[in-house]
Formats: sequence, C-alpha cells, structure tokens
Amino acid sequence: MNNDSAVFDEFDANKLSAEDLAILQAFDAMDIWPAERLEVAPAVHTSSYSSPLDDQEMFFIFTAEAEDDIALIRQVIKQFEQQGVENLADFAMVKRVGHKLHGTAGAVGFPLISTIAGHIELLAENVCNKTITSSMGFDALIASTTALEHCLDIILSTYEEPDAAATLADLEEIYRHLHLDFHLLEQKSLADALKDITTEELAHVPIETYGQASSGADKSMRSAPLPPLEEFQQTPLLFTSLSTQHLDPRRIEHLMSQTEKLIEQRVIVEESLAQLVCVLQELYTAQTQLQRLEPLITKLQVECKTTPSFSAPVPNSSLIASILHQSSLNSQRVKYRRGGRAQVDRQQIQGQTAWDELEMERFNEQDLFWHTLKDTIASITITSANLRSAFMRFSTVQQDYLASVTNVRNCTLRLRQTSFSTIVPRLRRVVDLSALAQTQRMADFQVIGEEIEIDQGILDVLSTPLVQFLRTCLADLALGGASTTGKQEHTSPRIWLKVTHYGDRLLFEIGFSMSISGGAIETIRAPVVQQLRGTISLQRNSAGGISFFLRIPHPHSSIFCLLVRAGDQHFLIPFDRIERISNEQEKKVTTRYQLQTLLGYKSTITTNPLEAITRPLLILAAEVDGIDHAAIIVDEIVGDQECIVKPLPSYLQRPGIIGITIDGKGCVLLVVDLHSLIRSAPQYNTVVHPQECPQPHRAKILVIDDSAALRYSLVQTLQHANYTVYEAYDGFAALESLQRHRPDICLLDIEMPNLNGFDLLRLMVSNPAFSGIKVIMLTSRNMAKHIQYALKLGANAYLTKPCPQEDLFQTIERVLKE
Amino acid sequence: MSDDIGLPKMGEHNHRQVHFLEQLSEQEFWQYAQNLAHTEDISLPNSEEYLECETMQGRYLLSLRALCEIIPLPYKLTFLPLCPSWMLGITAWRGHIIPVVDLAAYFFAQPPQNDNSLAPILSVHPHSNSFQLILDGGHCFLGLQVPIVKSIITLEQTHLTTLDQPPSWYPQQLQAVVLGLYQQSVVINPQTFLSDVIQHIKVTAAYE
Repeated sequence: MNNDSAVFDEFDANKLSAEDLAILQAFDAMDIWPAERLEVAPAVHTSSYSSPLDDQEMFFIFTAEAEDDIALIRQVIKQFEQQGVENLADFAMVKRVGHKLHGTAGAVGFPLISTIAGHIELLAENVCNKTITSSMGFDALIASTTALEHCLDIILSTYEEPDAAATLADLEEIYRHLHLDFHLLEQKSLADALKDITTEELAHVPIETYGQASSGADKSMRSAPLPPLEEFQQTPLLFTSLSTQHLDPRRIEHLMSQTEKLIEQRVIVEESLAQLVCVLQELYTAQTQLQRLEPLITKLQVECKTTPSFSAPVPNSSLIASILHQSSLNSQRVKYRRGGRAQVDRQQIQGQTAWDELEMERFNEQDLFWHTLKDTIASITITSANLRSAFMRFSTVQQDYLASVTNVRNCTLRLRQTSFSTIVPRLRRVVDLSALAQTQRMADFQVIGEEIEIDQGILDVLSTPLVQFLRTCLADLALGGASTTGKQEHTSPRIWLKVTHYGDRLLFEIGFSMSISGGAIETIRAPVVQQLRGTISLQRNSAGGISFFLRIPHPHSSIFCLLVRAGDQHFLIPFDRIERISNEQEKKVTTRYQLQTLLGYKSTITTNPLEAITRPLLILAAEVDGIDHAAIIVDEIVGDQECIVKPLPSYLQRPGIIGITIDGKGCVLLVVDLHSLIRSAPQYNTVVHPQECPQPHRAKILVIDDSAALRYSLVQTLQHANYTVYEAYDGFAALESLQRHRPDICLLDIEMPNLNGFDLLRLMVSNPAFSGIKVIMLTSRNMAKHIQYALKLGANAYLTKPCPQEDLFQTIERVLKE
Repeated sequence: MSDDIGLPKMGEHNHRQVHFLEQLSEQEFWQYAQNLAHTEDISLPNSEEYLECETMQGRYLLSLRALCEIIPLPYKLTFLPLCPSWMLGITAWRGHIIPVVDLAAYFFAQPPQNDNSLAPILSVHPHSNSFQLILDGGHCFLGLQVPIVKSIITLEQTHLTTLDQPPSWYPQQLQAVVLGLYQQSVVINPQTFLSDVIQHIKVTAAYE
C-alpha cells in the first residue's frame, strides 16, 4: 500500500464523492485480504443474495453503488483509450474503486463481484508498482470490468450471481492469454523476485517460469502451455471482450454455422464453374470445327460458279448414261477419300443415288462438307443445351451462395446487437428508488419493446445518460410536484418507455402522464445529438402529460418489410408501421391515401370498380404523434422480406423515405415510412420545381407567449401586415406548432410554463428539423446577460417589451433576409 | 458576377438560373459559390480525349477523365420523389446509389404545366438503346443517360472556341457548365455540371 503513495498523491480525490471517500476510509482500516483471489472469496453471508425482499433497500444501494463504481472505471478506460495508458494516477483511482467494491461486495454477500473487483484492485496496484506494464494492465482491466458488468447485469435480473467457477475460468483464460498470473502477482515473495525483471521482460516471461516460481496449488494449470491464438479465439466464453462489447455465444455459434455452410457451398460453386468451363471447351471445339469448314465453303462457292453444269439434271435415260455423266463431273473434282468414314458416308447416300449398287465411291468434298456441317451443328446444339443447363445450375448455386453471404453478413451485424432489456433493470431501479415512488402511488414503470435488438455501441452511449435523464425527471417531479391535468388528479402517475424500430432509426419514447420540466433534456442532449447524431423532441401525450422522443439512426439494421407494388414500382414498408391489411371495403378507416399520390406520382386510379374493391389497404399502426386511423391504398402486396436498409446519400434523402435496399436483381427498392410520408404529403403534393416556377413568399410567424393579451395584439398586428401568423401559449404547444406549420420566424418569450424560452430555443437549435427557422426573442427581460445568453444559444435578434411596431417589422424583415 | 470565379453568367434571359439562385438559402448559396470557386481550373492540357455524345438537340463532348464507365442503361430505374424533371431516377452502381440524369432533358427541361403534368408516372423505363455514362465527381457519382455514344476524339485547347456565339440549339442559361465549343459540339465542364446537378437535386427536395 505504501509503495504507491507517491502515485496516490497525484490521484484526484475529488473525483470520488464524499460518501465514496468515507467508505474508502472505512475499508482502508481493513487490511486483511483473502489469500486466494482467483477463487471465490469466502462469502460472508451466502453465495447469493438469497432473500432480496428481506433487505431490498441494501440490495438497491449496493447495486447502485456498484454501477457507479463500474461507470467510473469505464470512464477511466475511455480516458486511457483516448489519451494513452501512461497516467498512473488514473490507475491509482481504479485501484481505490476496486478496493472499495471488493470490500462492499464481500460484505453484502456477492463473493464473485468481490473477487473480480479484487482482481481490478490488484491489477491497478501492480501497474502502479510497475510490476506489470500499463498496457498489459489495461487489457486485463477491460476484461475484468466486462466480467464485472456481466455479473452485475445477471444479479440485477435474477438477484443471484452467475456461475462463479465458469466466470472465473473464462476470466482466467483471458489473463493467461495476456501472460498474467494472479497467483503470482499476489504473493509478496514474487514482488521481490520480480524486482530485477523489467516490465517488458515480464510481459514475455513464459508461463512455465511462473509455474516454477510458484509454490501455490494448481501448478498444472499454470505450467500448461498457452493455447495458440486461433484456439483461444475459438474458445466459447461466457463473455468475450472485443474492446468493450459483449458477444452472445449463441450468435457466434450461428455465425459459425453460417460460415460453414458458406464453405460447403464454395465446393458446389467450384464444381459448377468447372462444368461450365468444360462445356465452354466443348463449344470451343465445335466452333473450331465450323472454322475449318470455312475454306471448304469458300472453295465450293468458287466451284459452283465455275461449273454451272454441276447443277444440271442427271440424265437418267439409262444406267450407262448416268455413270458417264457422273464420271465426267468427277473428273473435274479432286477425289477425296477417308477410309472407314468414307464408307459410312457412302452407305448414307446409297438411297439417294441409283449407281450405289455398283459400289462406286463418290464421296466428294461437298458430301464431306455437308456431313461435317451436320455433325458440327448437332454438336453445337448439344453443347448449347449443356451450357444452358450448366449455366442454370451455376446461377442457382450462385444465388444460394449470395443468400448465404447475406446471411453471414446479417449474422455479423447482429453480433454487435444486444437486447434493450439489458439496461431495463437499471432504469427500473431508478424509478423504484425515486422519492416520487416513496411518496406517491406510482404505478409500475412500463417498458414496451424490451426485446428490440440494439447496436451495443448505441446502448453503451445511451444507457448512462438515459438513467441520468430519468433520475433528473423524477427528481424534478419530486421537488416541484407533478402537475397533472384534471383527469389525472385521482389516478396514479405513470411512466413508460417505449422502444420501436423505425426503419433505420430507433425511436425511444419516454412518457410521463404528468407535465414536467423540459430541462432534463440537457442530460441526454450531448450523447443523443452529438455522439449518436439523433434528435430529441417533446410532445403532449394522450395521457395529458409529456413524452420525450429520441430518434437515433440505426444504419444497416435488418428489418422485416412488406413488399408492395404501386404502379409498377415496388416499395418496402416496415411491418411495425402497419397494424393490419384489409381492402378498400374497410369502413373503419377515416382517412385513406394512395401511395402514388403521397409520393407525388401521377395517380393511376383504377376505373374498374371490381378491380378497385380488391386493392389492398394497409391500416397504419396507431402512432403517438398524431396519425391515427389512416390507411394506404396500394396496387398489390407482393410478399414480405427481411432487408438491410442502407441510408441514401444526403442529397438524395427525401421525407418519408427511410432508405433503400437492393433486391436480387440489382434493383433499388425504396423503404417507405408511411407515417412520415403522410406528414410530408403537402410537400409532395405541391411539388414545384424551384428553378422553373418560383412563387412569391409570404412569411409565416409563430408567436409564442403565455400572455393571451399580448398574443392577441401581436397576431392582429402581424396579420394586418400580411404575414401568416400562428400562436402558441407555452413551450410544448410551440413545439407542436413548429412541427405542424414550420414557420419562418418565431417570436419567443422567455418566461413560459412547461418549457421556457431558453429551453425551447436550445431544443430548436439542436433539432435539424427546425434548422432554418429564425428566432426573435420578444421578452420583458432586458438585462445584458439575458441578451447575451439568448444570442449565444442561437437567437437571431432580441427585442424587449414593449416593442414599437416599426422596430418589430424592421427586425422581422432583417431577420428574414439573413 | 465575375467570370473569373466561375460563377454562372447572368444573361438577360437567364431566368432559370436566377430563379434557382433565388431559392437558395444563404448557407446553400455560399456553399454553391464555394463549390464553384473551388472547382479545379479546367485549363486544357495540350490535348485531351473526349467522348462524343449525341442527343436529338445536338452533340456534346465529355472529357474521358471524368468518366468512370460506359454501360447500357439499366432496364429499370427507381423513381425518387421530389426530384427535378430531368432526373430519371436512381440506380445502384458498384455499391453506390447514384442519380441518373437525362442529358438532353437537363439542357432542355420544359417548364411545368398547371396540371402538375410533370409529376411522373410511376414506371421509369428508359430507352433500351440508351447508354449510361458514369461521371465521377470525387465525392459522388452521377449516371448520365445519352441516346447515342459516338467516337472518341482528341482535342487541343486551341481547337475550342468560346461560347460567344453558341449554337442555335443550345440554351444560353446553361453556359456556366460549358467549357467551350468544338465544331458546333458543346464541350461540357464536368465539375460545374455535376455540381449544378447535385445542387438542383438537393434544392428541389428542400423546396416547399
């Protein structure tokens, strides 16, 4: 402990909370550690948290702390990744955190977590002592932290630790691969033995050396040679670390089986290719034969021209005359004989000549030519048939091969994915531990879409901010009191989290059945908007509260779609956007659209009433943000397929078009989001080509102010000045109006209920959907700091109330021209 | 507007170009201006090879340096909504999704009728005998449909004449995308042409 005191001096204790430090101090007093760290630390109580309900509070406190500790370690790992692993002060902090968690978990009764945390502490200590290299320690730290997370996840979902032996065996395997032996590291005698060995040398000390130096048990394991890297990579582990990602062993097995199929198919493809080559060779031979005939044809043509009598009728007055005539003809030709072949040919023409009975060999070049030609044509015909057959077979095999390749690709993509349910326990715990849950009749926290598979990278970025966001919202509610609408006053407040796959996007709805402040968005803005390039929006929900919507791109995701035809173009529509399929006789639908019309195509309305009745009607799934009981008419439902959606280049992106996929024939299919398409319908139906037909522009202005009198006054003034004016009485109403009308300018007050002017402005700036909308602050606040803050946030101008009309109009016109 | 920076020449009858510029937001305008300003100086080397393409209206020459490939036009293109009338659709080429533009229609786009007749009928079946030239714009590719591809000719810079007296069939408002003339054939500046096409495709979608 003293060896690293210098290092520890550099450690910034401020990074730990006061509570953490207090716990650390308490544990510093404990200087007794289990002798065998690689084995499960002896449980203080039981090997699992056998009775969570007995001491639920302790369980929650411990898991929350453990989460925080792991998050802290993760943060350090991220710093290492970005800045290198040379900062020993960070390792000192990791050591302290590991030390704390090791003691806490052991005390609460989670020996496996305690053991792994002990590994982390030991690792960090040895890095600080320079007993092992920092890069080696870093790699082992990642593995240990991943194991720790794995254990905690299982504890949170089952209240029990995973199988300790298997988990530690996996971890040990990784350590061995990293040339680390914890048994040796923890022995003080080893520290002396290693004094003269440089860290680089240690990294290359064979495991046998450790085995010889060790006097502990389990020598056989330690002296075993290291498996080759390939073998190691193929070893199925309960968890395997690829940087910081979990890999599901079932998916690896599936990928392996798909790969094997692919390899099997390679043989078939090669055989088919060989057949094709063989047939092509035959065809080439036949072609060569034809080429050989070419001079003969030329020669015959010449002869035909020079011997017109050749075609004269054969005298048949008598046999003698005939023989003489043929003899005279033959004298003009070169006699051509070819052994048995000539004999066969002679036999073939016996029936055609009267003088065959005399066995006169009259096999001339013409006969040979026709015979060879006949053979060659037959040969080419057969070869062509073979070629067609081989080609068909090759095409089939190739299609199968491509399908397998697609499967492998999909499997590989799915390796990166994990179920959203992995972070649900953390979210539930936040709700359960919230003050609101203690004081009010909080209904259960409902999660919809837990099973949805999400890229682990996205989940890694999102999970902690999401927890923090929920925590902030609940804290705000507890402090300010949940304001509910009249109909909610006598019911329990509800919270729900709905996750849906939305084409190539993930849509998270975090809904509250009561109004809350929008300020909590700050906790998720950076990860969602900057890191994940998503958007955040708010909306009033049907329960009378507020829903937050996070839309996050999820490119190259695989989705199940309905393949439909409209006109003669095919489109893909994600299944999750459709409630059911009916036909045009359906009466429950209030609004129906034609897909062609929505896309701005010329309508191809069927005039035949019988045909019209049979057209399919896609009833849209009800959506939270407005479109209900709507349906889309298409010409035909072709089928369904799973597809990988690719995003379009930015200049080809269009409203309602999620992305594209390429079918087996190489055709591009558009993947359509019907809800978004309906919302964009006015845009599509007023297609104007800007370069060809400009229209005079009448500015649209949205007045956002909670004062009804001021709104009325402004609306009147602006309408008189020939502007199109909309109004909103608070921040949320403004957001709805922004989406519905998309004004050119907002006149924005600061003091407003629900979402104040600054929060709204921040939201608008961060949401690309609102880009281009100008903001003029119109408020009674006239302090310089407010003006500076608004302009810094992105306001285009700042006016103070009361504002003269001339100033208002001048500012509006100036901002419009900017 | 100075010709030095390559911006479009603004003739009195240049309605289409003016309208196009009017519709740009400030940011889009400066982006467009920057693109044009950063366009490589296409001063011809001593000699360069050009592909001669023929449309019903006239002949065009395209530098072989800008062409990646000449392929038969795909049997079927996918129509993308909210696109200029001269854009036939999109297709997949070597893993890229590229827009396909009718060269003749680009230069001779008809103004839209009141009955919205430019709204396309759903199927897009290009002429089966047409060719598709793949233009490489560095950051993106473009498919160019031309009815007839003729010979490759080698030109020297001195062979080109300015567009002071363009052929009667050539629309004056599109002079910015032209390098010059060679025996009544229009020599296209691939960089500005591609930049103009992409900008139009982008702006058409953004316009309400």
